[in-house]
Amino acid sequence: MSDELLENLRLELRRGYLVLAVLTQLRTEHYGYALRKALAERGLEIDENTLYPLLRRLESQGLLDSEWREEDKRNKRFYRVSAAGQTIRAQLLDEWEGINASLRLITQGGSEADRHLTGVK
Amino acid sequence: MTQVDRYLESVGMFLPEQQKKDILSELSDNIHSRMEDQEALLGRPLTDSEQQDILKDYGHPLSVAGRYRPDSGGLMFGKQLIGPALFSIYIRVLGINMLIAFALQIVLTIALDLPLNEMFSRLTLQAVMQSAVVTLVFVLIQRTAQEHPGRWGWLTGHPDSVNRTPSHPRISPLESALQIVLLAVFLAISYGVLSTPDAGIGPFRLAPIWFSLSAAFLVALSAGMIQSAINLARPDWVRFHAGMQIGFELLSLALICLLLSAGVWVILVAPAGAHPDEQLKLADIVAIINQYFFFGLLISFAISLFQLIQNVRRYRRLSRNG
Repeated sequence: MSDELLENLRLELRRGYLVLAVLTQLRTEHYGYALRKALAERGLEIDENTLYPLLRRLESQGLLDSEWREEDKRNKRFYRVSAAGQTIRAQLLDEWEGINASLRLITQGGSEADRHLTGVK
Repeated sequence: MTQVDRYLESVGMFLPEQQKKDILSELSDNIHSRMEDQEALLGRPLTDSEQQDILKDYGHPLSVAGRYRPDSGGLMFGKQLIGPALFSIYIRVLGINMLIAFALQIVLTIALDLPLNEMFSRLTLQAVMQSAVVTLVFVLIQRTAQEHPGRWGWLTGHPDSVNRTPSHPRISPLESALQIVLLAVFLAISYGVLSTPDAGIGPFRLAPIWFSLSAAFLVALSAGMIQSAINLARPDWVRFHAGMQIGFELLSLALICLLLSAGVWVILVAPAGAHPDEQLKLADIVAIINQYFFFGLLISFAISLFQLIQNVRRYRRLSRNG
């Protein structure tokens, strides 16, 4: 039960930063499988059935641009972050850094953290 | 057609038509890229079974397609019972099923001159029965897909597995699902007709033999539905399927014999004050209808006998193969 709970919470947590990771990695052009590999090499394993539909969703939201092109004798769909995507990515990164800073303070605990938190207020 | 083509064909069955081609092209490239990557790593082409493992890892076509249509809804009861890929088909089948059942019920009510105030309760009964049966069928299909991500050949009618041999036959879940839906419709019609003692059209009424055997008809149809539901959950129970079919055919033959022994299947209830000439004409029509019934029953007997022999042979063959 606790394993299942942990897995659910972990997935929930990952869902939040997955979009940010994809938008950031797609500063350079990638096709689906290559993007998955690039993210995995950086320690972020994403299930294919999560990543590929996510790419299409981000594109439909205008955050990614895509283009079909032939490479290695096969048609591939290359994705790159759009101008709107870059703006959103910058805002999400700020947000993420803010959350990270807050979490660090919360997890430090004790009076020092309380002082910081009061300061933040 | 390669395994990947067959897999993609199965995924495509559940994708929205306007995006299908695009999604499948992209998915095809991603799958082939992964396979090429694996081949480069191994330094040799992938075997059929290794290709199959990769497809299995992608997931059942139903689950894969469902990820591309997250806004298509689904049926939840604590957990997801029918996923987004199946949901639109479920709604369509339920709608068609309901429409046919309601239309039949209305036609029966008018043709049999049944009281209109009973129509609402009959329609409600139909709605509950049809919804329950269709929902159960789709929940079982979804569950089978989740529990067996590597089994998707039944979607296209092609084998999904290179390891599967004819020595491990299976009952197609699609066949079982269809059988449940059809038997549910027959059951509803039979119940509707046989629970009306003066069922008939115009001056023609069903003979008493039909009503004497009504319980047996309903039991046979219900047993057929239960067998199909079991085979939907356990498609590998082929011997059980053959055994149940033998029972079903035996019961059918017995019912046909009893019906044949009655000799009359439609009777005439002449309208009060009908002219003798008119009565004579109606009697002729009844005789012709009964002749049709006689030949129809004879043909049904021959078909059931043939199927019984086929199923006995199949059962014996399956028993020999263990």
